[in-house]
Amino acid sequence: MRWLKRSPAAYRPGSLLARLRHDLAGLEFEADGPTRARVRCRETGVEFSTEEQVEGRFLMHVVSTRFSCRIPCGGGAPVTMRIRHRGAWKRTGIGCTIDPGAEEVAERLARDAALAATMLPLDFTDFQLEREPTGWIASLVHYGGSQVVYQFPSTVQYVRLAPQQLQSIVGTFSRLRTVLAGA
Amino acid sequence: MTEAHGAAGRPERGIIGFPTALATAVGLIMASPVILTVTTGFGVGGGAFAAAVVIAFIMMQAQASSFAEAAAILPTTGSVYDYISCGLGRFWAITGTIAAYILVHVFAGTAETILSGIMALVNFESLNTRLESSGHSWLVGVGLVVIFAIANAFGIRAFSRAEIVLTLGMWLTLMIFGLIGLMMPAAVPLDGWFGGSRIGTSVPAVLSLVGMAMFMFVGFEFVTPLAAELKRPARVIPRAMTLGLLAVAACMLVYGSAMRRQVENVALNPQGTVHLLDTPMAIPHFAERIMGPFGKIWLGLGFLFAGAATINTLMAGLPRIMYGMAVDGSLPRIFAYLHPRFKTPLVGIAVAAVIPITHAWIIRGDLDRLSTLVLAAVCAWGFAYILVNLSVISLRLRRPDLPRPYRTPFFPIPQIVATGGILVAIWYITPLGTSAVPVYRQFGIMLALTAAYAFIWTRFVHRQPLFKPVPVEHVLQKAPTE
Repeated sequence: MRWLKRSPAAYRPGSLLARLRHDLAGLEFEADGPTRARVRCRETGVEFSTEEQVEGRFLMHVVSTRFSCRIPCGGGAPVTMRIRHRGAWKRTGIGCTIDPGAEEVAERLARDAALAATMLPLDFTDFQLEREPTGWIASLVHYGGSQVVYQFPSTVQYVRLAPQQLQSIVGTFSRLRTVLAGA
Repeated sequence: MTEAHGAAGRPERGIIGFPTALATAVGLIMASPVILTVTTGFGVGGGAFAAAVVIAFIMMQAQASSFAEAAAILPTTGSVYDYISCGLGRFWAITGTIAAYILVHVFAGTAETILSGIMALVNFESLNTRLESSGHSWLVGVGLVVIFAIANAFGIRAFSRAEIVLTLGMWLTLMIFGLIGLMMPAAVPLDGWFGGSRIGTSVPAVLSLVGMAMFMFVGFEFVTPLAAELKRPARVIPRAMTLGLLAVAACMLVYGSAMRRQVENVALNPQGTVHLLDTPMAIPHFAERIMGPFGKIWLGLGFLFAGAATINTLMAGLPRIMYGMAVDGSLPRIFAYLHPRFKTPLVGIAVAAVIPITHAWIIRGDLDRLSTLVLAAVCAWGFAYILVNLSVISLRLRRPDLPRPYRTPFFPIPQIVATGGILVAIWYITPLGTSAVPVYRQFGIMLALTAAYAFIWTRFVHRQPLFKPVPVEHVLQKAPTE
């Protein structure tokens, strides 16, 4: 069923990245293919990649950005963790859904007040931490930095990544480097 | 189902071909209000409606060239807002953009809400009769809106990847039913291919059906934002639009002709003002005549899925757009609120659900007002198209220096034809003999509110000039192409 894996007909690879690049002003930006880029923050030294991902719907699609950061420390057996906000109505902190074997890391993340403070303003829809033999990969999909493409009527609406949201993303990756050191 | 596509699996710039462009240009053929509008059009006008389809087809061809040129100048966005702000300034851009998508959603979304409930019931006669007699069948559509609102609030995604199946499926379904209907012996004796017209065949009678005919071509212009990815866009875009419009027109003409041949358009009230083809009940009658009970189920399920998917689309997209507007400060901050656990914009979802529900409730699911909603949507949509035409003319006159990979041939004739045609369609918005006042009232109130918002927002909040065109370079700089 190859057609099921096809991108929506109206999807234009790279069009979101072009918009996002404007919002990433101030960071070093290097294209890595039509839909991927490498980004570096000079002040913090944090490096991460951005990649478009497409979610097809009926007569529309949403293109969002996955921000991924490789943290070269404390590698080990493969483990996947999902990070989420806690709270019923207001965000009160962060929590993790974990694979067995990562309890200690999860506890360390949940205890870190600075990490929680950086992550609370983030409007992420998905946040994963994956352990590999050589380190960790943190990746998140954010609400800002996405694009809604409607076929009826024909509209393309970019959802901006606000400067404070970008600051939170960089801050989160930066803090994760500290917290995960030795994990 | 979210799927990350690797760069290796994606088309590079300039390698999207003609078939994709054609599929994109086919537009919204599967939406229930479109098919009901066509059924009603043929029921009212017969051959006169077929002539109106041809006129609408020519107008949309002319309109397509405007979109193609605008997309060629501003290839980064494909947004109606950018086209109009560069051509006519921010006031018209905000007014036109809201007319193009919020207002069309308000009108057509309500029509879809009411109609999907009715289509869901046509295969369940006892339940249908009970709800019909109490006048509550429209509540089924409201139920669908509520279900999808709740599903979206919990982050459940439905109808992913359904676009290709539903578009192709509905096009094939209508063509199959239509062709069989044409080949079968006619159940109704007809004058000509499309039958007679209840409103005559005078020029005003034909023009009064153009607005309805235009509705079937909604969404065809979506091929224009593909300009940057297409091989030889200057050649492919006009061809894809022409063939896309032809595919829609051919399908609808076959379907309409078959419908008139197989379903007797009997009067449903003693006054003879409402006929079977003016109502959604004509569709199951037609399906049963072509394929018996199986045909009824096939067509009924097709409409139900298409309606549900359209409602879900409304729920899925608008809240994210509202989130973006809230982050930008264009809407109150509450619209940027995401539920901590589900990560969904609850306020936006609630508003996206409340709009069609409230509207459907105000009109109590009155079927007679469905065409009013559809025609008000045509007005809103036509208004935005006129602004795009004027923007293209303005840019040609003021900025002949801009690079234009695609230039409208015979400029400005296509823009004049399209603008004039839309104005005539809006002038004659309802079939001859019926009052246009309800349509103008609905559209006028909404447009006045939109214009007031655009005026206050531009003049007093952002303190920017209302009618000064935004430089194209400024828009391109905001959205770099490379």
